[in-house]
Parts: sequence; structure tokens; C-alpha cells
Amino acid sequence: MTGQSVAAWQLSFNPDYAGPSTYSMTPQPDNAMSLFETGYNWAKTVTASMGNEKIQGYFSYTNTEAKGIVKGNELDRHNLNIRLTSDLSDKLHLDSKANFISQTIENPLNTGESSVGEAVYTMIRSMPFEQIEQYQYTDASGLLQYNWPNPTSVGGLGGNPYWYALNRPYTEVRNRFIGFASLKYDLTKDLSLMVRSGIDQASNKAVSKQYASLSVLGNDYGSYSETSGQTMELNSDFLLSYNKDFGDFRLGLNVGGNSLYQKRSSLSAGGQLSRRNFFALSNLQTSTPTSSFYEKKMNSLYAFGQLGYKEYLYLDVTTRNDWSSTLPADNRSYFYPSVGLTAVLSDMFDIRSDFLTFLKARGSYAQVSNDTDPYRLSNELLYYRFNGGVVLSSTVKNNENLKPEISASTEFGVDARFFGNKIGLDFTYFKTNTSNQIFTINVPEVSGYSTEYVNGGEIENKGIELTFNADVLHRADFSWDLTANFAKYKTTVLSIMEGRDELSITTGYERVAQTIVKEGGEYGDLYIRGFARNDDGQIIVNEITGLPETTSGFDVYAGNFNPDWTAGLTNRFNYKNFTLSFLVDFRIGGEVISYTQARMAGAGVSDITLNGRTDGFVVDGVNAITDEATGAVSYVTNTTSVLAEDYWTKVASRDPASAEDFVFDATNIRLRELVLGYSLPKSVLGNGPFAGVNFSVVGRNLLFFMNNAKYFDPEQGVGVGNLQGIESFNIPATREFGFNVKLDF
Amino acid sequence: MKKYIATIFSAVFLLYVTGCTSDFDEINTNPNTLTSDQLDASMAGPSFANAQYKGLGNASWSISGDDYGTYGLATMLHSMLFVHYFSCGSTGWQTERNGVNDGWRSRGWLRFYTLAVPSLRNAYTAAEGDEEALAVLDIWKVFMYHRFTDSWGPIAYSAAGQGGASVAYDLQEDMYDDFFALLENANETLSGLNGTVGIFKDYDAIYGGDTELWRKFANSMRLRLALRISDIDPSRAQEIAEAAVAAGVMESNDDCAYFAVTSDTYNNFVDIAKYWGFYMSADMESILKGYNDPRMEIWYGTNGEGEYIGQPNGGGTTRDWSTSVLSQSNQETTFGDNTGHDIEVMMAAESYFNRAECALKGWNMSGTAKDLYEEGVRLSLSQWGVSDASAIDTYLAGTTTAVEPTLAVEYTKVGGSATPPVDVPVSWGATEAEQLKQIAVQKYLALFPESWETWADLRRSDADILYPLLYTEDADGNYGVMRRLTYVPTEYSTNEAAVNEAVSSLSGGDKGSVRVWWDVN
Repeated sequence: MTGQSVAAWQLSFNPDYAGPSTYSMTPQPDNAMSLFETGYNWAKTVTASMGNEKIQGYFSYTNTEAKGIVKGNELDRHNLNIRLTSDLSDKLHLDSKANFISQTIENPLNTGESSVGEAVYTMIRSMPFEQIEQYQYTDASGLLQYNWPNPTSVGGLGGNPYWYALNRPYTEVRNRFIGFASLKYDLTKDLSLMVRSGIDQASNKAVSKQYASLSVLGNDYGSYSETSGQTMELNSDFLLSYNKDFGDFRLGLNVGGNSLYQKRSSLSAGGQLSRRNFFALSNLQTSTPTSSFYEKKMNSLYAFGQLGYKEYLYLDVTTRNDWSSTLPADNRSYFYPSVGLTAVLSDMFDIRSDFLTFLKARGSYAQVSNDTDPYRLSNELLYYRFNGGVVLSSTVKNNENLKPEISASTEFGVDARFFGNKIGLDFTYFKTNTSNQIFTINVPEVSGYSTEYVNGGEIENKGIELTFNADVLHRADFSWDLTANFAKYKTTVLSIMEGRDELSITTGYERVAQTIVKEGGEYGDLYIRGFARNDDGQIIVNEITGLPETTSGFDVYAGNFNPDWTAGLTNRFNYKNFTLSFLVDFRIGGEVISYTQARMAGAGVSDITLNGRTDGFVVDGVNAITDEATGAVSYVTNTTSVLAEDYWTKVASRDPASAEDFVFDATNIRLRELVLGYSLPKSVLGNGPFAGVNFSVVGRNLLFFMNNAKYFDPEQGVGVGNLQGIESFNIPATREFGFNVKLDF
Repeated sequence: MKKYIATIFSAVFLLYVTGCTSDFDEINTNPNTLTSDQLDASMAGPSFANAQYKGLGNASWSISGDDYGTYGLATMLHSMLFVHYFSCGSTGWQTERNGVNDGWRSRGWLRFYTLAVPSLRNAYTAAEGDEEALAVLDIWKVFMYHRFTDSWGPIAYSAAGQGGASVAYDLQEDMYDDFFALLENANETLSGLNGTVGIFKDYDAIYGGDTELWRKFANSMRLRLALRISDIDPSRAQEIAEAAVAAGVMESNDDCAYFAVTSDTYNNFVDIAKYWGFYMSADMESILKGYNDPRMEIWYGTNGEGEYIGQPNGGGTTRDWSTSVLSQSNQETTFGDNTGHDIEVMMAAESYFNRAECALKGWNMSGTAKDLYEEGVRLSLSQWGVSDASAIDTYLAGTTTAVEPTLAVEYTKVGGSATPPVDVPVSWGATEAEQLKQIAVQKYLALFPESWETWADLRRSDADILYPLLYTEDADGNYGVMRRLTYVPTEYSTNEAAVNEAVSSLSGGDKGSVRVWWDVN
């Protein structure tokens, strides 16, 4: 890339190409970043509440329009909320709510392979942005084509990010209604009955179009799919409550029941088109609609009570029994209790002073049991209509003996306040043991199944949480409050199941890392393929090629995706009508693995690949020398050099042979939020139409005080659940600035 | 009002306490799936259909849980490259250099055992009591498993597909005993019927349930497998081969076993060869050009200059030529459309070459080695549409040998020889060594593009007909044909005792250079 003049690549195929016939091959340092635009989020809210003693109503409406930093990524949401409460008689009370949300999302941003991110990050660094912007052209026969070098070659690395962003339009429309009505009847002064019924129903429709492109899509017709789905949750419950004071004692007793019914269904059809780029179901080459179904019912009966003594000692007891349709008949009924004791020690022992304002201690033990998803009890056969009929077995072995999951937790806490509430400290310690978890394990594939549902695993999660707040300063015109919190927890895998001491809890087809739980290990441990090393930990390098040897499986420990500890610090200042607050977040420890950095290295577009491009470099390691006679292996320092291209294409391929170069410390300290507000003083508002006018400027994710992952935000898009700690072609983290206006009438 | 509330209360309460779970079993039944107790005779055909397609290592998007990538990873990136029918454009695909890729190999293993094997089991369950149907299933079972054991050695066989936390492997010699017993039994069951297995008629994409064609298939398999053990157990091999030929093997191209493709079960080879960057090998160029073989233009397409140029297998990560000069599969006609070309399962020509080789050993093959060899060539050419008898005669009389391929200089650059390994012509030779090699070359061509059999046969025959690789990534430095596939990582993590026991039965451990049981001499 030395400024040599090369023929414009569009000349050969784009009849409308009007640009220069040659261009100079020079670095285009900003070609990738120029793709991104400034996004926005524009929310408008109106709220009103009204009513009299008998009936009260509340109304709110919010419209949100938002646009992301990649073209085509948009959101439009309407949210209407109505609540009505009324005393129908002295004894009968009504509470009801209706919430309607309508939302359209266009082109939500994907991560991972085949995403805009992949195209952007692996982009050729010599491509001028003007050429990237023209992502499509019309060829001599009038067909819309993908504009990129070798537009008809299938597959290949990266591509034009605009095509990825705009010519694979995806729209998701969701209409959701949430509502409930509740009646409460006071049978006597101490006894009441509440009956409530609620519904949460949503319909979704997703439409996906992909324009014809051999290179991106792999076909020259285009593809189309539609998915429609409905979800419904019905929740009905009743509660009989009895509250009575007996001298120094206060008793609350409740008996209730709940019926939960969940149903989800969806219908989808899609595939390759017949007429090019005509997006309709009737135009699919072959169409087999598929449907999915989910139905589950759970009934519960419960009782809970509180016994209070002199407003400083409280005993809480709960008992509950659930019946779930997802478990086998013998195990579908299960019971779980809890007990807790709270004491306001400062009142109990009368030790309030100028120093100690309030001291409360609490302790509890609780069990919770969970069921599972439907259809996990008996093996399933799948049937397809084509060729006269095809039937096959599911590769998941279901289990007719599943039991409910159990988690038991113990918690202790202290809430202390000093100097007349000026300083507060809240401390919690918790320990939760979860067992009989329902998960799938890999079974020998030769058994005919790849996974099987089992009960197993004991996981212990324990930790502490600490909150500290202080009124640092309080003057007439000026105040300063401070809140700090700290959390640290650790999740240990005590056991998995008999005969198993490790379990991969990711899907098994990860390219760069897997989350593997091992007996005695921690939840969140990440394993990668890495360099082969000798007993002294030195990297073994092939003496002929100069390339490092690598391990074949995911057997090198890379770290844990959980932080060692997290903390936050909020400072809030008030001066007259101004407020200023800022939040600093600390996330210390933990690891994140960047697939983006691996693939960029493999493509040779990141700076770590600069070393040794023409003359090579020598990998710091040893050559293994085998003595022909004795078979003994000895090691000598490696002196064979290797070209950067050979090194990085081996180490950082699509399935990186060693991800050791791409493991980052996730430690970071950031200015999470800064808010500056101003309220118009009463003197200005006077008798005008407004009861209050408030302006504020909000900045989020403003800067890192420290970021050990240096190339990316280690907290963005690194997964949820069992699949965390892996960053894969995330769109860059954004800084957000907001301006709020609030008018009260 | 009080009465009203009390009614609601008691109604709700009753709901919970009595009969609250009576509909739970029904709720927890998936309306979109069937259960195993519904596997009656009407399900035998649909189950067999899936066992056929998946047993051939193919898959399509029409059935959830798999796709054509399995064929690409498991077949094209292994046996297809091992036997040099194709080479690949990507420089990073190490299996072309005898390297190991766990994911690709595992994919084939996973789909075979979790899709093909359970479907075959379902078919057995559904066909219970139908002797003829069971005989056909036995034949297909042998076909499915022989590829797997020939690739790996000991594998799960007798205990496969029946669940279990640990599944023992069978030794290859034990499986071969069972293969021969099943095939002999199937031949007897199907003898003299000349009919159709009713429950397979509409589902069997190979023979439509035709008992006579399946019987010939069974005997052709017996012949194939007998030849396979001819080094380890010559006397038994002779006995079985002679019995198979006497019982009747495939004799005309009408007997050929093709899987008839549809848009839902299409030919994966066609797509993968087209889309994944596979190119004609230098070996194929060398042989086909040298022989003026009419099949070259049928199988391969020209490069942009109208030339046929093959690529040496095992190229390094940087290469001195561009893929744009290379020939790909013939995407204009033969392999243009994934529903336009049926999948080769087993061809009649192969039986003739097997008989020819056995005849050279002096076994009774109802014909002379020369006649059988020439009939094999005739059938293979006509199978690929070469129908002109004089063209076939000319080919059979050919005295030219293989030529240096266009990129032959690449072999000398790495210190090898550019001289083509195929130094025999088509025309029947004078010496037995020459004739043996001619049979090997013609069988190599006749098996195209079914690479699994080619790979097993090359290992057994040790025929010297291929250029060595330019580079190797094999741990033992093997530039020739790989001897086996290594076991997949998931077996080590989930079925460790069984796989370790299997490995201990291999002399040399779980390596690609270690020979399977029948691979001696």
C-alpha cells in the first residue's frame, strides 16, 4: 500500500460507474469508522392523574423514536397506560390497569459472524469510503447487484457493510397488552379477600428479506421469511388476609392461591425466492411452514404470615406448594418454605444515641423450587411431509423422571444509620445452594442422542453486598450526598453429577471459547484452544516452520467471565436550582475474549499483525528435539522466524488455533452517568400555566478512567446466561448525551 | 354481595384443591411431534428414507437439525481430498495436507450416530415382523456401518443408538463377521421373490423396495467386503467372494444404486463442489488427459481460458498459482443442479473391477480378468453417458499413459518428482503387476465421486496411482493416503472408557497413520 495507481475495481462490471478509472492505493485509516452515524433517542411523555375520593385515574402516553449508529437501525414505540382505582362501596375496592405497547424495530443490530460488525472490522484498509458507500449497482441486464470486488464469488471474508446493513432488511412488530383487574372485599375490619385476574398477551411478527447476492447470501434469487407468533400469560390469584393487633403483638396471616397459564405459538415460513428479489411467501421456491408451540400450567397454594412484637421484632414464615404440568405425575407437586427474623436492635435495646440513629439486623432461610419447560419428559419423533414422508428422532433424550430444582438460601443483613440518618450502612451476606438443576449433558453420540435432560449439579453462590450513603454537606443553598455500593460474590461448582466432573454449558460449536463447569471450579470459567507448552510452560514451536504448536481442544484455562468485585460511587450536588450528579462504576477482574480481535488479526487488519510482515519474527518459545535412539525429548530455544501472515492465519483463523493473544482483562472504571439539572424557580413561574419546569442534560458512558481491554468496551454485548465473556463483532460502544425537559401543569 | 364473594372464593379454592392436575398430561404433550409408540408399519418407509439420505452423509435444510455443510465437512474435506478427486482453493483447510480438524470430523460422527443410526433403528422397530423389509434394512445397515468402521476401525455398532451413559465399541473383525452374516441371510431371504417390499415402495429412494435389486446390492457388498479382507484372511475372502458372485452381483447399469434426489433431499456434492471452492486435482488431470478419457469433460469444467487444469493436492498456505486457472466440477451440465444428478451409492462397474482383481488371484469369478476389467470400463463410461461403442473401444485400446499435469513443476519445487505415478495405459497389460494397477486406476475412476469406497480401496490395495502431497501436516509426516480417522473429542469426554478400550486394540494408538484391522501388507 504505497500509493501505486490501480484500476478501479468497478470498471469491469458496473456499467454506471462514473468514478475515476484508477485510484491510488493508500491507507484509508477512517474508512471503517465513517460508516457510523450519530444515533438518537427521542422520547415524549404525557402523564395525567385525576379523580376524587371515590375514583382515581392515571393516564400516561410515551412515544419513543430512536435511531442507532448504523443506517437502517430504528425503533418506534408507543406506550399507553391507564390505571383506575375505585371504592365501589365502603368494603369493596377495585383496582385495574391496562397497558398497551406497540413497537416496531427495524434492523436490530446483530453481532457475530455475517453481521455488519464483521464486515466493518475486517474491511480492506485501502478501500476509500466513497466506494464503500455505493453498496449496490445495476448490471447490464438490469439486475441489482452487490457492489464489491468479486461480487459473484461465494463466501469470503467480510464484505460491504452497507449491503449487510441495508439489503437484508428485518422488521419486527410487536403489539402487547397487559392488564389486570382486582377486587378486594373487606369481610370484617381484620379480614379481607382479594381476587385478581390478569393477562399479558402479545403478538409478534418478524419479516426478513435478503436481496439476491451470490457473495453475501449464497444465492442469486434472494430469500424471504415471515414469522408470526402469539404469547399469552393468564394469571389468576386470590388472597385471604387477616390482620390483627393483640396487645404488643401484631399478627398478619394470609392464605392464597395462584393459577398460571402460559401459551406461546408461532408460525414461520421462508426460504429461497423464485422470482429475483420479489419478497412474498407465494414466491418461495419451496415452502414448508413450521410451527412451534409451548403450553404450561402451574397451580399454587400458599400461606404466609408475620408476627410482630412491639414494632421491633418480626417473624416471617411462608409455605408454598406448586403443581406444574411440566413435571412427571410423581414429582409435579412440590413444597417449599421460608422463615425470617428481623429485629430493630436500636429500639429493642433502646440504644439510640446522637451517634447511633437506627440499627436493624435480619436473617432468613428460604427454599425455592422450580419446574422446567414443557415437553421434556418423553422422547419425540419429528415428521416431515416431503418425499411422501420422513420421520426422525429428536437428538435430545428426554427424561421421564425429572424432579423440580431446589435452591436454598441463607441471608444475614444489618442496616445501620448514624448521626441522625446522615450516614447509613447496609450490609448483606448471602449464600445460595442450588441443586437438582435441570440441564442437558452431552452423552456419547454413539448412543443415538447428543444430549440428555438430567437433574444434577450443586452450585454454591455466596457473596456480600454493601451500601454506604452519606449527607456529606447540607447548607441552605448547597448540599452534597454520596452513595457507594460494593458487591463481591463467588459461584463454586460443588458437583455436577455422578460420573461427571465437567460439563460444557455452551452449545459445543463455539469458534473461540467455551464455558466449562468443572467440579471444584467456578461458574463462568472460560476455556480456549491455546499454545502447546512444555512442562516449564514454554511455547513449543515447530523448528521448520517457526509456527507455534497448539492444543486441539478447548483445554486451556483463559479466565472467568465474572468480575472479582464491582462497585459504584454516586455523588449528587445541589446548588439552589441546580443539581449535578455523577456515577462512577468499577468492575474489577474477570476476563473477556475478543473474537473480533482474533478475526482482525487473521485478516491482517489490526496493529498487532504489523510486526514481521516482510522479514518475519521469532516466536518466543522452544523447539522440541526428540532423540532418535532413546525417544527422549529435550528443548532448545526457538530461532526459526515466521512471517506475520503465516503466524496470524494459523493462530487467528475462523476457528482460532490459539486464542491466547485475544484474552483481555475486563477490569474497567468508567464515568457511567453525569446529570446536570436546572429547575425554574417559583419566582419565574409565578402564576403562569406551569407548576414546574425542569431541564436536565444527561451523559452516559462518557469515559473510561481505566480500561484494560483497550480495544473495546468489555461490558458491551458479551452475552448473557451461560454464554458470557465472549465479544464477537460488536458495534463500537457509544457515548450518549440526552436532554430532558419536564413540564408540570 | 357477601354471598357472591363467597361463591367466587369457593370456586377458586375448589379449582386448586381438586382435580387441578387432571389436564396436565395433555397440556404437556407436544402437538407438533409424534411419540415412539406411534412407530407402526406406516412409519417404516419414512424412517428408512431418512436412514438412507443421512446414511449417505447428506442433509438438507428441509429437515431441522442438519444441513448440507455436514457433507462438506465430513466427506468433501476428508475422503474427497484424501483420494485426490478434488483439491481445495482455501489454503487454510489442513485436512488437504493430512492435518486434523476436530470440528469437521466430529460433525460427520455426530450426524451419523444421532440422525442416521436412530432412523435406521426406528425403521427396524416400525418394520417388525416384515422379513423382507428387515432383510433390506440389514443390507443398508451394513452399507452405513462399513463406511464408518473402514474409516475409524473399532466403532459403536451392536450397542449403538440405544441410549446409555457408556456405549461399548465393537472390533472391526467382529463387525465384518456380522456384515457377512447379515448379507448372506438377506440374499437368502430375498432370493426368488422378484417382488417389492410394500412398506418401502414409495420411500426407498434407491430401489423403490425392489427385492431383486437389493439382493444384487447385498451380494455386491459381500464381494466388496470380501476383497477388503483379502490381505488379512485370503481363504475366507475367496470363499465369500465366490459365493457372492455365484449368488449374483450387479451386472448392468440398471442394477446401479443411485439415491434419487428431490428438492428436499438434494445432492450435497453438487452444491459443495460448486460453492466451497473445490478444484480438479492434478492427479485427475494427469490420468484423464493421458487417457483422453471422455469422462474429464463430463466431470470437470474448464477454466476461463477453456482449459482443464488440476491443482496438486496439499498445497501450502502460500501458493505460486491462482485458483482462477483451475478447473472446477462441471457446473454447466453434470453437476449443475443439486436436483439434477442422483447420488452414486454403488455402481455395477465396481463389481466387475472387484471380480477382475479376484480373478487375477485365481478365484472363480465367472469370467477372465481381462473380460471383467473391460466390461467394468464399458459400464463406467456408459454410466456417465458415453454411449458410442466405437469411442469406448478406442478408449479400451488406448496405449497412452498418464501425462504430467500443467502444474507438475510444483512437485519438483518441493523436491518431488513430476513423473506421473500412473504408468499403465488403458489397454490390458501383459504382466499381472501391470494388470493389477490398471484395475486399480479404472476402479479409482469408476468410483468417482463416491470417495469413501475409493479411500478404503486405496488403503487396501496400496496401489501407487497418486502423487504425494506437496506438504503434509500429518504428525508422522505421511505424504500419502491417510490410514484412518482419529476418534472425535466428544467420545473422549463422554464415553472415555469405551474409546480408550477401542484405542488399545489398535496397534499404534489413535493416530491417522495407524492401520485398521484389514489394512495389512
